[in-house]
Amino acid sequence: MTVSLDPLINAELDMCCAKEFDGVEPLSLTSDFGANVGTNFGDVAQTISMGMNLG
Amino acid sequence: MDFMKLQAKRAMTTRGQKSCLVIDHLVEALAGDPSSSLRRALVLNRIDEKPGITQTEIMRELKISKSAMNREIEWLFNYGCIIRQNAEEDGRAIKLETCGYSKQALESALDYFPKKHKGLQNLLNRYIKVLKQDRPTLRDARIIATLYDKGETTKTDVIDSLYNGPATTDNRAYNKLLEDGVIKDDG
Repeated sequence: MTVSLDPLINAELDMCCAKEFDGVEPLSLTSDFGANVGTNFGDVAQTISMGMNLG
Repeated sequence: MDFMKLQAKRAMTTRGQKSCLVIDHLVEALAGDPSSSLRRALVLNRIDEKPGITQTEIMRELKISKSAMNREIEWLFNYGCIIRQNAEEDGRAIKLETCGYSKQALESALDYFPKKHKGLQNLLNRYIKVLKQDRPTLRDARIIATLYDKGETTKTDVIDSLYNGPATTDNRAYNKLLEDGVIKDDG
């Protein structure tokens, strides 16, 4: 029988450890995300959709 | 080990391994007692961060009740983790400082954090948040640090990663985390 961490807790710990051990700030999923990377969610959705059609 | 070698070794250590090592150093700093609460580790960390801090200041900053704070300070003093000195400016106030083996082990834990005490405080607070218990211990934190490091593993592996304490205590801690949904098995 195997055991693992609850995935949400795992993700939470991972973000915290990345920040505190390596100084990696978690990506924000709020509205400034698109602005920071120079894209928007519409473009991302279109790209994914095109990829799926090609696949 | 010189500084460069130490840095190289730490760079090769994964975040999961670092989490486990930090908890191990804290257990060492708290008299080898994995039943020590994460709150006690927070208190020790704060005293080390600000030598000469008073009990009242810590109570206010960490939002700990007076009776709980008295217990933590008594414990830390009795196990040789801190020294107490009367403040010159106010005879009633007692200044606290970390010392000896405890200070040394805490420094080993702090080596993993670029932001030192603040980083350790943030990680401990995160453990307290995800553990969802009234008084989570270093043992509880080590269980989830092991699972964070290994991903999926067996119960035996998790228990073996603990501190050779009584099997019933380790099993109780494991079962409580299972019951709370913090960890999940495939059974």
